Amino acid sequence: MKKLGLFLLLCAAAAASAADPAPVPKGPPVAVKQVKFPDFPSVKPKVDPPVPAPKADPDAPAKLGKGQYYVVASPKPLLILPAGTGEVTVQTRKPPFMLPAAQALGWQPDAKDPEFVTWGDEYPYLYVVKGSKSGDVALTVIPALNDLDDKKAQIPLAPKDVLKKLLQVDDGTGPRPPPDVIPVPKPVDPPKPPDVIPNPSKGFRVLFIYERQADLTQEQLNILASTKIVAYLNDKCVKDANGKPEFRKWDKSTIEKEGGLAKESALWQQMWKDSKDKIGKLPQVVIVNDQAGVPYEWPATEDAMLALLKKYGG
Amino acid sequence: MGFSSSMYRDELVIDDSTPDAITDAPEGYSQSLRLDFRGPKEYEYGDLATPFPSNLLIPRHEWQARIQEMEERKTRISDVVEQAGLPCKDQSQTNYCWINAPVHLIEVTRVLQNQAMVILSPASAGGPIKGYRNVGGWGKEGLEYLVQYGCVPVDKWPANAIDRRYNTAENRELAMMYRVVEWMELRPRNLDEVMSCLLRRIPIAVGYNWWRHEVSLYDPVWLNGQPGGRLRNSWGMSWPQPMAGGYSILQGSKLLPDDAVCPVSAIAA
Repeated sequence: MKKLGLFLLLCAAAAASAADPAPVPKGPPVAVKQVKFPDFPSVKPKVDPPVPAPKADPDAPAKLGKGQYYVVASPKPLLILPAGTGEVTVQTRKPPFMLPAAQALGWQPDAKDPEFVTWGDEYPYLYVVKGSKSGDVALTVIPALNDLDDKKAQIPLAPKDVLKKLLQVDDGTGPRPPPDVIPVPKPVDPPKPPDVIPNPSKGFRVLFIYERQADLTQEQLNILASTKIVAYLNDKCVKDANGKPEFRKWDKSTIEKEGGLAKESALWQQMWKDSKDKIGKLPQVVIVNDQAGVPYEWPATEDAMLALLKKYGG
Repeated sequence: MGFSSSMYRDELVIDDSTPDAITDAPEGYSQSLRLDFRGPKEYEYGDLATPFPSNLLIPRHEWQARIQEMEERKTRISDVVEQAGLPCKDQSQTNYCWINAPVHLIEVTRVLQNQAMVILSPASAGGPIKGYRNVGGWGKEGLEYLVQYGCVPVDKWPANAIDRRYNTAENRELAMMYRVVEWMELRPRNLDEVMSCLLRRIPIAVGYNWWRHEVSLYDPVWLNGQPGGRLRNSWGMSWPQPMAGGYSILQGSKLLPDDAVCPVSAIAA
C-alpha cells in the first residue's frame, strides 16, 4: 500500500510537470550519459513469473503493445518527432519517475523491487512514447540544444546526432490468440493495397494527395518538398504532350472545391474520379503503372517513400 | 562554432545594422508598398483570409534542428524552385512590388504542386486593381484579387504592361487557370507565425513599412544563433549582387512584416 501511494505521488508529480516544456538546464551541463533507449524485445516476454528478455536487435522495430510505454531517457533535452499518422503520443516527464515493469519493457526492473522501473536524476529528461493506434511509426530523435565548445559556441549537429527508431504499435484491437499461446509476431509486409485504380493511359504516374493546412510532420513536409523524389519522378514518370512528367501534388480541399479540377487535363480528372473513393486517411500517394494503381498511406520517411515509388517505377 | 545556414552566392544579410542605402531600390526600380492607402477599418486582420491556425505553430526550440535538417536534405522551397529553374520577378519601372510578390507565389505554389512552370504577369492583376495607374498598394489587396480573378501568363500579357488593351475576354478566361484557391493571413510582426509558415514550406508575401517594399519569403534560416528568412525580391536576378538571383536574408526586426499573406494552394491546371 505504501509502495502504491509512492507510485501515485510520483505519477501525479510527473503529470503536473508534463504540461511545461523541459527547462533549459542552468549552470554546468550535467551530461555524463548518452541517450538511452529501451532494450526492447521483439517478442513479448511473459511478466509473471519473470523470464529473461530475448536478446534485442537494435535495428529491429520495437513492438509496442496496448498499455506499454517506450521510454527514452536522456541527460540532455531532446526533440522526439514521430513520423506517422497519429500512432503514438510523446509526453515529457521528469525524474523521479516510476512505471510498473510490465509497462516499461526494455528497462531493467529495480534490483530491490523488480515490479517497478525507476528513473532517477541521472536522466533528467524522460520522454514517454505511448501507442494510440496500430501501425508503424518512425521516431526521429534530435538534440533540442546544441552542445557548447570551450568558447561557449554551439557545436553543430552531426548526422550521428539524429537517431531513428522504428516502432510497431499494436493497440490490441486485432484478433486475439487463443489462451496459453505465446504470440508470434507476424512478418512485416508492405501495406496491403485496399483497392485497385485503373490507369487512364499507359505509363508510370504518381499522385500525392494531402491537406495543406493539416499539421504535417517534419518527415511528411520533407516528402512534400523532396528534391530527391522530384528528381526521381522527373526521370521515371511518363511525360505529357508538353514534356511535363506526369505526377501531381494536390491539396484535397482545393481540388474538391467546385471547379477545382475543371482546368486539369481529362486524364488527371479521370484519375481523381477513379481514386477519390478508394483513398484512405490522408496523406496518401496513388501510384499507377501501365496496368493499374494502388493508394498507399505515406511511408514514414522520405527514403521509404522513394523506395515505395521505385518498387513501381523501377 | 554553432550551426549556421549555408548562404547562396552573393546573398546579403539584411538586419538591424544594415544601412538603408544597401536596401534602397537600384536605379530604375521602386519601393511602393503603401499600407497607408488602406482606409479606416479596411483590410483588418482576419477579415478576408483565413488567420494562421494556431495548431500549425512550431515551437521555437525546434526551429534550429528543423532548419538544419531541411538544408541537409534539400527540402527547402528554394531547393525546389532552383531545381525547377524558376526565376525571380523583375518589376522594372513599375510601382508594383505589392503585386509582384503574390503573383510570384502563385508561380512558386504551382512548382511545389508540380504543375507546368508558367511565368505570370503582375500587371495583369495590378492594372485592373489600380485602374491601370502605376501606383503602390499592398499584398493582401493583391491576393484578394488573385483569389477571385487570377492572372495571365506573360506571353499573353507582358509582365509590366499596365495597359487595359490586354484585358480581353480571352485573357480573363485564361486568368481563371492561374488563381489562388486557399490563402492565409499572418498577424503583423509575428515571428512565430512567419517561421512556422516557412518551416511548413508555405511561402509568404511580406510587406515592410521600413523598406516601403513587398517581397516573397521562401526559407527559414539560422544565422549566428538567430532565426531569419530568405527572401526573393522583384528587382531582377542581379539584385542584390550580380549572381544572387534575387535572394537575400532578413533578420532581426527587419524580418517582421507589417503585411503578410500566403497562398496555400493554387488551382490545379
